[in-house]
Amino acid sequence: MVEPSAASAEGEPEHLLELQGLSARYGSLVAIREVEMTVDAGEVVTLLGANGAGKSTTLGAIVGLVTKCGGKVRFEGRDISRLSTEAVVASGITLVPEGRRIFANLSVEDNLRLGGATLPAGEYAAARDEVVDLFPLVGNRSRTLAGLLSGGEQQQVAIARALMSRPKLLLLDEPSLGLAPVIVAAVFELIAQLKSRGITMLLVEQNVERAMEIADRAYVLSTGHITMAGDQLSVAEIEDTYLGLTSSRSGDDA
Amino acid sequence: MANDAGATSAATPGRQLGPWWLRSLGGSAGLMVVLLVIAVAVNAAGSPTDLRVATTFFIYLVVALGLQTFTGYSGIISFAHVGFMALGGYASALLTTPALIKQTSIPDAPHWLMSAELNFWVAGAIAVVLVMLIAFVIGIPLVRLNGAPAAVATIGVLVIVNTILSNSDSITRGAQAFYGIPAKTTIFVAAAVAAGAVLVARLFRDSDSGLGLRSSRLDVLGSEASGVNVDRVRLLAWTLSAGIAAAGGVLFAHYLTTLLPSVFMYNLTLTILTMIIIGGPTASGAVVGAMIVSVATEFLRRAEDTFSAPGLSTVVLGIFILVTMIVRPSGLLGRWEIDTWLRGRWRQVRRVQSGTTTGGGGS
Amino acid sequence: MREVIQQVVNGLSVGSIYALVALGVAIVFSILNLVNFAHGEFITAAGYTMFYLAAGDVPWVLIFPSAIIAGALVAAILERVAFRPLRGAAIATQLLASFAVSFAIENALQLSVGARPKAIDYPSWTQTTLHLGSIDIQWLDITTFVTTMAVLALIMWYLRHTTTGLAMRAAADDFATTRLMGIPANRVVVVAFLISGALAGLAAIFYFGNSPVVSPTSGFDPLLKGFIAAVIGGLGSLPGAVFGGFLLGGLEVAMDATLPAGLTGSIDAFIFALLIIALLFRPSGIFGVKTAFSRV
Repeated sequence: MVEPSAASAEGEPEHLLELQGLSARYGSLVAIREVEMTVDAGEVVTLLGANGAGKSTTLGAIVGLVTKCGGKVRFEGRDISRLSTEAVVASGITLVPEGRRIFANLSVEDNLRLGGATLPAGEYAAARDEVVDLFPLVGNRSRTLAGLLSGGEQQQVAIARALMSRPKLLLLDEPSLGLAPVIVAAVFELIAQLKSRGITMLLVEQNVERAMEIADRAYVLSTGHITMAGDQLSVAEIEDTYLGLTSSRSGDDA
Repeated sequence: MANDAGATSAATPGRQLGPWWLRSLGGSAGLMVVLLVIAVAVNAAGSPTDLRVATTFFIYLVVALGLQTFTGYSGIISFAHVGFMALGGYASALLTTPALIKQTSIPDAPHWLMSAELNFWVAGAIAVVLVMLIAFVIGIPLVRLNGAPAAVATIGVLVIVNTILSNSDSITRGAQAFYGIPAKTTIFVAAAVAAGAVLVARLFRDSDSGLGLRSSRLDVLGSEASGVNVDRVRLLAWTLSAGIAAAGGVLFAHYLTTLLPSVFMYNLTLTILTMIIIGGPTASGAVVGAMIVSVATEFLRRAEDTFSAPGLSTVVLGIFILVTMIVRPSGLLGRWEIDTWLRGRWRQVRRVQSGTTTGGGGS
Repeated sequence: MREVIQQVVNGLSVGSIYALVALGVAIVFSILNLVNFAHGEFITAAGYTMFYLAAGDVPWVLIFPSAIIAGALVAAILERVAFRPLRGAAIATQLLASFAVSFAIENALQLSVGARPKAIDYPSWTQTTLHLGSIDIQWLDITTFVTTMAVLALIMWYLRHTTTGLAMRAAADDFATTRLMGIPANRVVVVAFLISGALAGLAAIFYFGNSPVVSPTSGFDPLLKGFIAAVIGGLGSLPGAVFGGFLLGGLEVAMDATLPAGLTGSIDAFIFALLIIALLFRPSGIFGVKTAFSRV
């Protein structure tokens, strides 16, 4: 499954992203507790769990939008736990937030420009060509106000915008949320396409079946900590945790 | 009542037997007693300065409680309430000032106004009702506004009130001082009205409308979806709060015996706003805030005189607000009334004393 | 006819000043939801800068830019000291904090430079008029309008074509997501304050040109007008703020020309009354809040 492009040859660190005992809270409410997780270069890892299990909080904590109260985030072997959001993004992690959050009052083109804001001046044109190649829509409708696009189209803009910064790791927060079933299928096709291009992804989803189809490995969060992990998890088992039927089980690690 | 086995969470300190208004009465009683005790003590043992500071505190407290009833509970900043205070003060002044004085001060006023020499309490009541009527009418468009536009529009109310008062030469003497108002505001009158205002502010806060208003502060659409008619509860609070502020204005007029329109502008607005911000958005918060600001202002005023540095108190007051907001954005008391907070603590203490967990009633 | 043309020119000039103030208020509001009362102090700061430099015989070529820089500098300092710690707080909290800051500064000025108004010694050309046939037009009015138009065009260009400008428009839409693009939040906010303060400084040059006297409270009146203009346009909408400024300027000049002499002192009250009535029909202003930067 792992793409040949992945960096494992030289003495580079084993994992691209590693969460070590990561905890975060909102006020006195602990949202995630001692989350341990790794993502390797070239992998697609999915993070599953019921509503409120702490999936989005985990992503928020990685990019520094949610305040951490314990543990570490290591990226390419470097501790990035204390970096500001903008510094995390500059180091190569980009988050496609839940609900897309495109800049509705700006044109599609301007959304892309902001996505590529951290690129060196010379790389912008090439990055844009790549993204347009992947998403013909953003090329065709570059002058349209992004807010006028449909939900599925907005999701494309959101992912395209994130790819503009040429991230080493793409975090996707529930990309299928609130979309019609046909569009959901299209979005997952797109994610598969990204995977075939060797883009490393951490995918947060509620749609267990689809996510498991596409991911190399899965983690399951319930009430703030990892209860299952591995590459052989069954959909039924995972969904049981949503109802609180299973207690924790350590899966066969990849 | 003493058995608190069911209340495992400190988040529900208000859980108690009896209807809400009985609890509000009980909760306000403590504060009201404190106010009256202050009045008695200062009257018996205080210097003239103490008497002045305490009386001024009670008067400003009434206005602060008025502002609290709208701004504190709804989260919408109002600059209008000092305007309502002014209207209340002028209305009562016009109705009570002896005809002899009015014949020289405002010779062009209509005859009925000239001859009016009402009793202080009657005139005060009329003034309050009048201001509530005016506020009700102005409130109809205003309560539909949120956030910043609402704040700017209420500045408008203040400016309009000020313009009218300063230009009605034949009735209010315009920008000149209106004098000869009977001195009726003793420390006991002021304390009694303040105690009444505490009660009204507290009762409204705990009523269904008050609860609806406070929920709209957090989420307008959410509370409307839960059946709160936000416009209606805001209008109710706005009108009621204007009445309380007007009562403060009446006290003010009959304490100073002289009124100037320019007194009721931004400086006084800032002072009153500081009181409710420092204390926090509850009736108790207004009392604590008014107390701190009144005492601090007095000390600062003396410092101003000593160093002959007029404006010093405002500089310090401004910095005071800023620091409070940075350190404690929800005021010294946060969202708690003193009595509910004490009850919550008391429960915690009891829980600790009677072993680690008494509660089988929790989850 | 002659009268009408002169009043129109007058309205455009007053409207320009209000538009500059309102635009400065709106730029900060659109990003931070902060209704900045201290914006008036940027104007006052520029006024005192001009007074002291002119009194020191500094050439006006240097004084004008200094006034703009003074406004921007005060804005940046206040952002750092007062508003950054409050970022993300409720609208009411921030509004009140800025109100308090504004008063603290006014009184601090009273303590340090005195409450007495000081006359700024403007260059004589600001008093000269251009004669076009029977029509007399103040050179100052022409300068005001032309400069304002040029500056508006410049800001439009900046917001469209630079990354930081684009980021400001994006931040008005969604501040958190703008940070997810790797754009430093502080840079966007500081630039917004700098622009806001510079616009106030520019407005101050023209404002004091019409009444060349500065006192600690000078900034409050133009600030209120800026607020009204911004609210008319729909707080947060930049084109709305500019439009509101010109509408307000026109309205004020028209009232001044038509109202009986006894009522001209009450123009502010009339304008506020009109504002409240207008808000009854359009509670979020003419351009609404959501169109924020869309027409820039």
